[in-house]
Amino acid sequence: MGDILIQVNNLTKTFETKEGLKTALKDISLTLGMGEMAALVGPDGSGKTTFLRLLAGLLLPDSDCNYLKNNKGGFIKKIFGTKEIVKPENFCKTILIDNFCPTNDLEDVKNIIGYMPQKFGLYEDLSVIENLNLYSALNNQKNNAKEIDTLLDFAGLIDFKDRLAGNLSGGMKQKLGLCCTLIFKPQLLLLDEPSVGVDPLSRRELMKIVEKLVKENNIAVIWSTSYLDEAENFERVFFFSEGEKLYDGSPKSAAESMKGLVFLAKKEGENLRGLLRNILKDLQKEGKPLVDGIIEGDNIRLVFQNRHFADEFFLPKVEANPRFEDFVIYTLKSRLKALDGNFSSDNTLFNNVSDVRAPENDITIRAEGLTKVYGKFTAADKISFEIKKGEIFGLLGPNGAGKSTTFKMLCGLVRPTSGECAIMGVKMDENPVLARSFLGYMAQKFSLFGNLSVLQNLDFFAGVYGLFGFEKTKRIKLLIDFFDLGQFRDTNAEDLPLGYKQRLALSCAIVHKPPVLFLDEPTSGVDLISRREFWSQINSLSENGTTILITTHFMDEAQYCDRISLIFKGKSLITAAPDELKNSVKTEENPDPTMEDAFIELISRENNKTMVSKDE
Amino acid sequence: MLNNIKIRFARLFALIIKEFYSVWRDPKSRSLLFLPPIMQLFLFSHAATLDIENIEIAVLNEDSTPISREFLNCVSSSKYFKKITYVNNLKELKDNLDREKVRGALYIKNDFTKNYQKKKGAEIEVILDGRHTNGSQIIGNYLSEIALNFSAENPNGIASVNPNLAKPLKGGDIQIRTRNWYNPNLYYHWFIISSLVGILSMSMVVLLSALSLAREKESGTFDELLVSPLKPSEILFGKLVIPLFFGVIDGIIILLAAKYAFSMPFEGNIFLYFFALIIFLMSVVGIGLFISSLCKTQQQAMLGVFVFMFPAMILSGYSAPVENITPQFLQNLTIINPLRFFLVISKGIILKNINFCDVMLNLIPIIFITIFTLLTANFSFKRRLE
Amino acid sequence: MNKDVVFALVKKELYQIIRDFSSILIAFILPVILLFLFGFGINFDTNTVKIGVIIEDKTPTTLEILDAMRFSRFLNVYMFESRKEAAKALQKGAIRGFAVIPNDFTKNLKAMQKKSQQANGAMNVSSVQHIQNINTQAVKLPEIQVITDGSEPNTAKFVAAYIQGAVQTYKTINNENSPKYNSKPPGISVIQRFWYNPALKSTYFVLPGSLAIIMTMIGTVLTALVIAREWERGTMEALLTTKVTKGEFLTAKYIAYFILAMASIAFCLFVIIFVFRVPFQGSITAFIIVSAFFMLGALGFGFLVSTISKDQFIASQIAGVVGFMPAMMLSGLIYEINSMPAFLRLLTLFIPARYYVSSISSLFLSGTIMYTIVRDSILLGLFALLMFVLVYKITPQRFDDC
Repeated sequence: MGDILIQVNNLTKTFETKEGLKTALKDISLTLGMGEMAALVGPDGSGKTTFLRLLAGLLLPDSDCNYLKNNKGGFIKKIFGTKEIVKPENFCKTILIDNFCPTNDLEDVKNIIGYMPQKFGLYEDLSVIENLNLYSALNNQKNNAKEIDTLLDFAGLIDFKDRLAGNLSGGMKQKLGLCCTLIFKPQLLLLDEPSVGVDPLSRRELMKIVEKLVKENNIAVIWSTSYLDEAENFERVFFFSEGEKLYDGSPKSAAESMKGLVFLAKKEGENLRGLLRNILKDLQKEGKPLVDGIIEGDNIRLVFQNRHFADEFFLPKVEANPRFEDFVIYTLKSRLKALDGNFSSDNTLFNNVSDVRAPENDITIRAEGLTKVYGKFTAADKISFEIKKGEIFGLLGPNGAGKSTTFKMLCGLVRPTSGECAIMGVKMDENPVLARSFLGYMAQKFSLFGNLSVLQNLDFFAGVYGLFGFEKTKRIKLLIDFFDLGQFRDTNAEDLPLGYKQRLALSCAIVHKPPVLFLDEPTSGVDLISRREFWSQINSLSENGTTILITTHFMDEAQYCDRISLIFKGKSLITAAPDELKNSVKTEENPDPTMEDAFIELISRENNKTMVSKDE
Repeated sequence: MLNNIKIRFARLFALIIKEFYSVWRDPKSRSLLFLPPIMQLFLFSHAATLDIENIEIAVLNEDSTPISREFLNCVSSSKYFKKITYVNNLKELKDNLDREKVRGALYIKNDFTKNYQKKKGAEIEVILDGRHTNGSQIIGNYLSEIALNFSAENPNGIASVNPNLAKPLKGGDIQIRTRNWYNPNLYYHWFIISSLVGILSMSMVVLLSALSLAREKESGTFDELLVSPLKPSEILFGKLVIPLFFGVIDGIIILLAAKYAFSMPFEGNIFLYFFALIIFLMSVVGIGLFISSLCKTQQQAMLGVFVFMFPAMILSGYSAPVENITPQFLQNLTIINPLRFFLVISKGIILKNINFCDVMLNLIPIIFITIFTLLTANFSFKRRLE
Repeated sequence: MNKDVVFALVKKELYQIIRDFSSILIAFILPVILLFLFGFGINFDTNTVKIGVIIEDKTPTTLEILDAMRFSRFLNVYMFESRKEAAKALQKGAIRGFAVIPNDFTKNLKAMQKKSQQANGAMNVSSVQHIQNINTQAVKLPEIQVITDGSEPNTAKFVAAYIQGAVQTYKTINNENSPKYNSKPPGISVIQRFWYNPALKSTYFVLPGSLAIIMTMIGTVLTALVIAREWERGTMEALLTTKVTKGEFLTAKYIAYFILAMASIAFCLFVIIFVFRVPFQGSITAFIIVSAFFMLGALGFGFLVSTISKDQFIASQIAGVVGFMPAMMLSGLIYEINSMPAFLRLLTLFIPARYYVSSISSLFLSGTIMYTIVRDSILLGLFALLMFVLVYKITPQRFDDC
């Protein structure tokens, strides 16, 4: 697409941490043309933010700064010392933006780049218009009111001009953040995770706005995200993992390359989870391990290593459309050798669960008309559902929809304004201590005791749930072995890699073999492989009779649940199995809707409904 | 039954271990434990003094006679005064005082010797800097004392006239013999250090307990505690024991420093002392937990701790005696300040060896405060649960 | 430096200040509470001390001495029957000291008077020999014992001085009324005058002086978190990619918080003068000048703390340990600088609050003393400048500064 705007050659970035040097980016080279739009995809910690900051000149590449040499002087040297930059040969050649180097020509680069950091960089206590005026002044622009109005109109914020940025919804903040970066008409737009905390509807709107910009003004865009399904909408994708660029190209062609390896399979009358587990185990044994196997509605979706393995597979199967995700997991796996997939091979961990007395009708969690009102704001509005033993039940919805409130009411952390709930037939308001004793709870962001070691964390949770002596030692050893935490026994929980944090949090939650497990956003930020492993663990638990309640905002993960409840603006829009949900929005234009399509459709239906009722 | 007890014990034990580690393994909390108290002990014991020494004064002597000079000699040889600046006129005197070059001035008028010898009552004006009220009063007292001694020793002011009368009658005067019990030399640091045991361990304990709860709230682990089978009272117990433990250790360190570094006496019963210290620190933990139950972040908790600490210190009788606090209601307010009572106990046991009843008299209000704050903290845990 | 940019940033800061209730709280409510505490809590004017008196020798003379003590406006006298009882009360802290007039007091006094009459007689005949004879006769002195509670050293000193004063009063009165007792005229009498603060109210000194401590704290607390906050909320990242220079950024921060801090000082001044009724003798202009320099330094220190540590916990610890504590201990407001060990006295020279205390208390109580004002303004100005340079130097242009 015309001239080259960004050129990156062998970019490496190293940080100094407590444990020594850490390479955040390793030998990255890429180019981006004028007016090109690209997604930068990768899990948390893959180097996305570092890369964007390097482009914006907020960080300097290793080749441009002799990092160690200059950092040795410490505080005093920082103040009084002269900076001694040893210019290596390729100084200022690593990153070139329109032939300017961010290290030396920062001012020129600033004229080209519009950068929106995570959390959008807005002043929450300034109003929309004040934020815009500020950023206009900061960029030495003399925008007149009319220009700013045009911009606001363009983003659909014109009616909220005087509202404080802090009071905007996630979607509106995102648009305002974009407006602030657009105020001086940059040639390159760097957006750092613009879709975090934003509902899918707003996400799509923003995407449209950005697409329009690209077309009209020939602006190049780099949009970083950790959602693979989001990246699929782009023409071009950079996939980063652990600081390395693993893929650069169109997601469609990547998915194409997986053609013939992806299948849907099912076996009537058999429990899908058990089936999946057996398939994974058997194929592993045969030396033909699967790349990926997940449950998707009524089917099992399988990704094979090669055509040959696929042909030999024993179950009837239908070829499915490959996705970018399949490609990513294939790439990652081929680097990691093989996925074990045999997490459930040791059942001792999860048995005994079903011994706990069975409540009437096997209903382990019951919520009836749960309502929570904070002042004028209704956080949760008459939410009801019943969950059976061994079921995986998902609460799905964007941030702030009321998932967490519902969740907290269920485990007795928030007292409902009206309605009631019961765990294993024990009503929360009657005997909270007994009801809670059935719970395993994994809080948001893997709340662990950060400065306690892995072992100490496990020790604590085991002790608090009444385990002691030999029993405790045995249980902890089992968990450590099972979750492969041995190498990190004495590491502080806060220093663990995210995937291991998640494992530890889960093992702490199940240390006392609870019949009911509550998981609050257990997969956010975690890389794909860890997520897969996590789900296979969850599957085993559910197979052994543990009831699982999970909240998530990953639309695709909702498919792994037996049933989901869509929560939006405090209300449960629908409670159904994932396939039912998707089918309910099937149209001729969209015969194979994704979870996100279903979600958006249902939300807009709901919005229309409220509008109609208002008109009346 | 036995198993139940074992389980409860295991739970509490796990909790206490966790509380200990989360303080000990956290560099920030650990940095609070010992270094600041020791530094403050050092700073306070050296800097905090209301004694006044090394005084510089100005003298305007219009009456240059042997007697006035003799008197001035007495002044300058006293241990309190370091330097005498002679000035020639009132303007110069004012200048010196204005600029705080001197803390006071002696103004001897030209009829001084005449009056003195005629026994008409010789006057010396002592001009003191009213900007430093406490110090100036003390300087005034020093000078009065010197004058008194001088006139007793030189009743006729004729030392040079009749050498035989240089040591005349020592009588005619009522003698006042002062003895200072409990602190014979009136060392100010004895007072400071015996108060510091309470103040320093309090400031550490209140911060520790407020932060530990606020941190758990911030990181979300508090929810996990609440969801666990631990009862609110058990959580409270865990939060109580560890700050208490470190508070007592700080107390021991300060007492050891008092004994060995500052050669202070310890008159009373050490067991009674620690009993009182523990009760007092319990009330402080209660306050810390109460503060953080009102806060969402560690930052707010820290501000809250400050808002509590400052008045608690000022209204404790440490900076200035409680009975000096003038608006009566503010003085009455001090009865909710556990530090006020503990300072009495601390000084009482360390320096005065007060008896059990007197200790209890001051301990009972602390016990009430402890019960109140701990119940409040317990209630706030419960409320969060329901 | 671009004026429009600075103006826009200042506007932003002011909006943030106005809309964030906590900065209003810190700037206006907190200082008043602290002033209130300082004003009432730190009061060295010993109004009355409770003392006990034991008279073992009840005669008209001793009762007169007792009356003299009772009449003293500083003493609050409680009678005790025995030393033991008084000792108990002292131990409890019910009284701060006690005086014992022993049972041979009157006897000794009489003997003494007789002797001094003889001596006077002897003096008349100028017989040195005679006087020496009398001198060699052993006479026990009439003695009042004073026991003080040394666990409160400051109060103990006042107890001793006040009792001495009362006895002195008794002697003076008796001197005029009955020449037969102690015919010796008074020697030197010391007339104490307290300049600048004749009524010797300690609040007159403590309140204006505490302004220095309060403002050290307010200035530091206000700003210690503002730069850390920009990092935390991700706005610093956005600012760094705009065309703002760090000079503009810091200037705007200084201006906005300077306005707030000066408003806070003005408010405190108002409270001190009109609510606590402390007289203000100096010139307002001088007050503003000194305060401005002081505030710039305190704000700069806050910015420095905030820039060094992006961690709020550490920021507030530093603000407390390096800012507030030394101001409280070493500014000379409460504790005597002259009595500190030499190295601490040296240290006080580097505490800005020390100079501010001296300027402010002079301005309030003794008027505008040019020497003090000029000296302190220069020193405070230098401190402010140093802070600014440090802050400017370590404010990063990028995320990693290499």
